[in-house]
Amino acid sequence: MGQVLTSGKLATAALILVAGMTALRFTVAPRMPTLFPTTLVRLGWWWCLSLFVAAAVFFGKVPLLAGLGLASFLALKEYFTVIPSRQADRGAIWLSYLSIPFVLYYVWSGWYGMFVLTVPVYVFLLLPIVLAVRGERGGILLSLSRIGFGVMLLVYCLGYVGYLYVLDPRWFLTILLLTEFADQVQVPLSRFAGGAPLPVEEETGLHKSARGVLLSAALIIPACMALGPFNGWEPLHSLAVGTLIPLLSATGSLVVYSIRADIGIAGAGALVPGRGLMLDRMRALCYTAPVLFHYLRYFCT
Amino acid sequence: MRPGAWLRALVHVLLVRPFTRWVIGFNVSGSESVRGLKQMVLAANHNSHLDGLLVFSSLPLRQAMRLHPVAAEDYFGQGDLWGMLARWLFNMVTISRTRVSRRHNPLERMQRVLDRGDSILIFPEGTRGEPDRMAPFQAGVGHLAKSFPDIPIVPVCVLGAGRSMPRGASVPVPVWTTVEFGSPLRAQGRPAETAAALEQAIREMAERAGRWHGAVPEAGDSRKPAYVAVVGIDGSGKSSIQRRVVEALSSIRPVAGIGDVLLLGRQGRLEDIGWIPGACLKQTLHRLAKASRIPLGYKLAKLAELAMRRHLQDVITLKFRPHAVVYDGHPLVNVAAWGTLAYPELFNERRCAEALGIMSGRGEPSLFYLRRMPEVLALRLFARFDLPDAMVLLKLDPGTAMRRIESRGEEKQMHETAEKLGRLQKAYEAVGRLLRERYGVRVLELDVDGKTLSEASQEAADFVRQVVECG
Repeated sequence: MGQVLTSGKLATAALILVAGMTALRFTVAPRMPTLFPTTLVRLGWWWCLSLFVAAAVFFGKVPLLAGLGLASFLALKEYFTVIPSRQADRGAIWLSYLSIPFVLYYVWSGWYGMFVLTVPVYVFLLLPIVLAVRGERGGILLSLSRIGFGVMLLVYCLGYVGYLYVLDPRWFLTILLLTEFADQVQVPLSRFAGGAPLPVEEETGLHKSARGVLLSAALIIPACMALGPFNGWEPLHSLAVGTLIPLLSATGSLVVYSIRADIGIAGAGALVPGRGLMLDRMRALCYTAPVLFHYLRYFCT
Repeated sequence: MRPGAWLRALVHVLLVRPFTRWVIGFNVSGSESVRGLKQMVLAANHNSHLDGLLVFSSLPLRQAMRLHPVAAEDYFGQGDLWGMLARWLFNMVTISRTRVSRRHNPLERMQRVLDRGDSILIFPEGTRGEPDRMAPFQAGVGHLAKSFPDIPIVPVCVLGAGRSMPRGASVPVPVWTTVEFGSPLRAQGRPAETAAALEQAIREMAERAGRWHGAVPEAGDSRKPAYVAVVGIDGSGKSSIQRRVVEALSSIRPVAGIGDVLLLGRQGRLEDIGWIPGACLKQTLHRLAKASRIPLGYKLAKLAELAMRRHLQDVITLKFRPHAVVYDGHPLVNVAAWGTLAYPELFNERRCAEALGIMSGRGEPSLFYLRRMPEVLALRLFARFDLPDAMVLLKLDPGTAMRRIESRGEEKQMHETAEKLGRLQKAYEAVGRLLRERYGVRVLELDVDGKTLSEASQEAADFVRQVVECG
């Protein structure tokens, strides 16, 4: 069956899915606003995503990495906009942006060792130096943790999306689409199923409840099992991946929302560019990509 | 359009706008207030060289190409390549910041631009200053508005640019910014009032959007409010006059009143100040001090009350950013006057001046005060009030004052006799003289005998307004 279902067909299917959702957006969704909140209806993102996927499938790594770099840059820019920072942090912020091309290069060249090391070791070591040479005291540890977290999450962890492609394009496709689908579908499913919301999220309007996450798992596990032969996974691993995707997606949104709540910008305004649009699209991938990458690299290669 | 103008538009579309949109990133809000305007004066806050770029990019190209930012000649007016390029690309009007006279009136060049039917972008702060801090607006924009009453003036709030590229930085850091257009204003009364109204509008916008830019803009004004004391003996009506002054001054920006009760004037009305932590405690201490029959008890309770009052003043200043704080009887003036009465041999003029300096933190304390007048040191340590910038000293015949006090029907305090009030009045006058001569405080001696309350308040308010506006 692996021969029958090719990447090209999957990409085409993704485009058709998006077209279907566009139709849904203009027919059913306006009549059922509680079941289809804006998160699902945000179709521009799905169009971008599917074009990106199609480009990756048909033209290879370079457009994929360009798109990934852009996403990483935009998400990082949003993150640095909302976190408190001092003037003395400018150098460190620059360094964070600068780490993006390095990570992308190691992904492109498939240099696994350097990809895994660069951010957690070298950027980690360089950031405090850049902050320390400014000589400005007061808040250096806070700045370090804020900036360092951003680089780890939005450059390093997102870099794994690219490396998944290098590992196996089929796996990249499966995980990217299922993660995004899980992240988006969990919101209406949680509304549908009810139940206590996950912590912090109750004041933000974005509800994800444990029941909703379980329901989404009930959708994603069969999908993942069905894609197992295409991906070349044993049923056991398909089951594991299918279970991990909804759980990690929920974790990602929980973490990003905790941070937003901590800064005091939870809730309103997430629909405005620069105020969490990209961050919200990437939050689930930041968690699924690295964990599943290591899982698959260990068990399935 | 001329070929030069085409080229300029092309550079904007191909270089400037992609740069501001993708590398920096900006959100525009309130753009409907400039939609369709043929001519306008934009007044923006200024923290960065990016401010101009962002305002240009957030306007439709047609409007942007007719916009002329006002720039400093000493910065952009030079013959170097950078200056020439910037002048050409943004149609700059350069004005001199140093050579200002009737012959070199900087407004003239701006007026010529407006006469041609073009628009102006002005930064009334005059300089970029600290990131995300606003300097007071200068009156130039108000003069401009007065000469062109038909052209709408639009306040523009640019946030985040100071973070991306603060003064002194040569490379911008990519972070999102916000450009918000406020609703258009017209010239109002005096030029300074127009400038203040613009400043207030921008401040409000900054406060709303600030939380998206890394930090709520510092609540504290970079400027100190003007401190004004209304001083006089009991029965002179200082509390009522203080209330009215607060009310009269608050038409443009908030004014706080500090005394036995806390006041806040906004938009010409006294408002409820709301719940402030500690206000109850202060009231309790105040009653405790009044009830105390032994001097030490009175002093301790009073000191605690003043410390609390000082804390509340800080809270109010941070929360409401008043442009003036009006005291009902200034603590330092009171202490000095009472000191002169209580220790006539110890508290001569020199000592009195010294004590005022020590209490306000301007002078250094000496051992003498530790031994003889620990109250002075205690006030410096626990309730350091600033000396007032201006003082209204109410003068009244002690006999009249006594009659008024008696008519209140309350229990009289120890010092409330005509003779003691007369001496207190003399002491206040002496302190007022001292403040004027040693510390340059402006003092108005206001004779309230035979004046109605509103006449006296009017006079006091006029004086205070003058002080506040002249800085």
